Amino acid sequence: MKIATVTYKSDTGWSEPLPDLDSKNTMVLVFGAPEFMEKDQPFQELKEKYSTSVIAGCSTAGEIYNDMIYDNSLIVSITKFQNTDIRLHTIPVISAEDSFDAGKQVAEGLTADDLQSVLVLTDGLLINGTDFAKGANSMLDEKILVTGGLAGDGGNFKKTWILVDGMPQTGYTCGIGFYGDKVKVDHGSKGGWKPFGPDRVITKSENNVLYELDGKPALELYKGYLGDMADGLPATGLRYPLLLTDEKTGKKLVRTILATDEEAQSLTFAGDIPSGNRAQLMFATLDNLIDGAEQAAGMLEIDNTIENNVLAIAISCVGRRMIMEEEPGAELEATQDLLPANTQQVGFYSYGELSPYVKNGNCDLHNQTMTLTTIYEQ
Amino acid sequence: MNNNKLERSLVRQLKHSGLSLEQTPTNLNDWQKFLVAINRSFIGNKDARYLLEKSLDQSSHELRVLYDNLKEESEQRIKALQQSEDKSRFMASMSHEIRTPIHGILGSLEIIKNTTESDNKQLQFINTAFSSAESLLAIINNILDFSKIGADKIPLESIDFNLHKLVNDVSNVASAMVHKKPIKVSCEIHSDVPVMLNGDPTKTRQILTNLLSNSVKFTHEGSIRTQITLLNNKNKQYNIRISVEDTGIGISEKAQKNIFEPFVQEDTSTTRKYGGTGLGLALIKEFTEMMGGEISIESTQGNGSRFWVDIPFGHASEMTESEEIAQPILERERERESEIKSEHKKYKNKKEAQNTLDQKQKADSIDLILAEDNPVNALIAKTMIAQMGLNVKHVPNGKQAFDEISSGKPYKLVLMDMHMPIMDGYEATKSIRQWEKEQSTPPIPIIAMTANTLAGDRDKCIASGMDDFLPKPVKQDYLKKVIFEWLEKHNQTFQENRDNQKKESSLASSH
Repeated sequence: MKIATVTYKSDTGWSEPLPDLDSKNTMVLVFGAPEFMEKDQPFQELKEKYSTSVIAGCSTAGEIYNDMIYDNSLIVSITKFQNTDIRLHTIPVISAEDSFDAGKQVAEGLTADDLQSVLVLTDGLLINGTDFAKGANSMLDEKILVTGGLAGDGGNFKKTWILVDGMPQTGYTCGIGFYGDKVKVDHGSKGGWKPFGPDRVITKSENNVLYELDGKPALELYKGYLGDMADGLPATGLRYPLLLTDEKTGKKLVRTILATDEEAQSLTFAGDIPSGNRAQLMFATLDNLIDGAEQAAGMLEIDNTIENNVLAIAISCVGRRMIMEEEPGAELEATQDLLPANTQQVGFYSYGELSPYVKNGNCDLHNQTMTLTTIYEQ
Repeated sequence: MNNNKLERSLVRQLKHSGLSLEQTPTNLNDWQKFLVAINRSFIGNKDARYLLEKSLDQSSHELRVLYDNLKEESEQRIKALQQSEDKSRFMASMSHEIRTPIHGILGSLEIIKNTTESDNKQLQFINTAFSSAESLLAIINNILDFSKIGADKIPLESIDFNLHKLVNDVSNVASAMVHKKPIKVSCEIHSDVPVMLNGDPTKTRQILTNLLSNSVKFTHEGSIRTQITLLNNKNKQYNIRISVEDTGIGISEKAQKNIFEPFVQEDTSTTRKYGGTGLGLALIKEFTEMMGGEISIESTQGNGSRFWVDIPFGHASEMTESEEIAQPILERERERESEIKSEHKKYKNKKEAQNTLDQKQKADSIDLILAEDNPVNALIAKTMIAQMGLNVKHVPNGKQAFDEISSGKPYKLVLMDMHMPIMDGYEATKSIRQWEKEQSTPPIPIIAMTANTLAGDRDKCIASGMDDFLPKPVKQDYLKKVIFEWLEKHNQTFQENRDNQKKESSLASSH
């Protein structure tokens, strides 16, 4: 397995000539700034150069290459597998209601006996990640690992893109399937957030809008607990997500605040808030988040002394980037330190991460995590 | 954050700033970068601390509010509980207050009936007045019972009793209640139903009485049929079905649903036409359920009703001697009641009866003490006793009764009301018993007379040292029977005592 990563900037072009790695077993992953929606040039070049390869990618809220974060660029990682088949399946999504079906169809299009895992990239705004994950799970055996993320647009929350037939388009979702017994795909996902204050029962909610906790207005409670820290809501809400605990399964998920409504005393989150679950406020210092990223890397079962070439796809939440803006790349440094020497880390800051909560579990939508997927061939 | 984590983040910050622990920083920019990173950690921790303190503050506040609310709620509940207790107490004392004058009426009527010459028409009025006062008393008793149920104050008895006798007694009463209506009252006890059972006879009697009086009330012609069957005998329990079937007006399907709720009758017109408080069935249900049983109804409007209760009873303990001896006071009392009835028949000729009594009484010089605070009740009792040819001394409270006894006068019996000023019946009895013990005097029979007719009251009377119990309103025949019975017993004891004393003294003199 060979990996090469190149970058592209509008003013300076490619960082180096595109390497000759085209094959039907080659995966070209592109993570790019939202403005490339209107810039065809580099995509045309990629399509020409890697005409037989699988080309996939999405827009970001920050591109990741090793321990660096880029804006206004394209990060292109070209991986040529030796003994692994890869397949891409793309599905259009018109509205959030299609999410379950989209997840189901993506998975359906990739199903095969020797399917090992699926990497999913989806539109970041037109999809309900929770339903999408459920749809994908409905078609796949639990042992098939599904990881991925929701595209970003630099924190503007206006329009994201996915590469469709090599060109950026809005309103799509895609999955890449990895087949055969040589490919090893692993994942780790952690946030590092600390819950605080009492946990409460969600007594009134609707999809991703939370109205009441323990029968009391949610926003009022939220503000009461944040004190001065609540002044910059909803922007500062990114710093204080909610921990959801499913009473029945014990599963814990983190949800980021996207908006607040003073009149309805409600909070809108980047994922479903099911009534009856328990909710608790969370906070994190920069150090906590770096610890979280380390824990995500620690979850990987990969032997970090191997000399194989490893592709690590790091998908981290846009909220984490905002908190860590004073020490950019610190969490990437932390994960890279724990990965094998011949690892190339690429990825993006996202609007939601997809991965199981635990090893060998079903895929879920996460907020505020560092989600790592490592791929290598034995 | 533990030391290990702190150290790790320090190392991370050094590395991030291009420094290492082993080397003194040479580049001022790197050093500055490091200091900035350290400062950020510090600020981060400070923010975290603020949040934790804030949350602690908020949580304590919420906890305080929760505590206050809980406190207020529990205080309100306690208050409500007290109020409901006050209400029950008020109901109980009200019922008591109402019953006392009714007793006065009943007693007076009985005396009029027995002593004055009345023509048939007058007698009819007297009888009507008597049965009206009795109905009133039954209603008051139901109200009192119900208020006690609400206050959980009715204890459940578990004693051996004769079910066959109880059923026959109640059925006889029902036959009498029918009066002139063309109704055939029948009672069948299946042969496999045990005679003696263990349970609560008072409540069983009340259940059957209420069921029968309902049937009598709502049936104009036809029949009222009581059936007692044994459903099964398992787990050391007899499951007995008591069923009362009538050919009365019946109950609509709709009304059957809440017929067992208190104060519910089929509709208000029922109340107007047939009267009643609507407490009867509610009481039956409460009592049945208290005994672990179930009540059921089967009825078609206009076509009669059948009510039945299935109640588990315990096995009666083995009775080797005459059942009557082993039977508790309550049962004895009831048996006496029926004996009185037969006696009453025997003494139909009043004068003959009077002569027999006179002869009996004149033989002994008898002195009774009647302790009773209510002047009407006292007058009635005094009149009744005087008619028996006995001398009675009336005192208005327990203290004076005690004074009389402890003065050493040869009284032979005490009739004791329970609720009296200065010293009540219980206390007076205790004092008398204490005095007798100190003086080594044989105990004088003390008979309680009270309107408190619940099982617990009886026990309380006996426990305080009394010998027997007369429920109010006191019936003349019954009073007479009890008084003579105890006087006889007292005479025997007195005689034995005197014989013993004689023996002792003769023994002493022979030494």
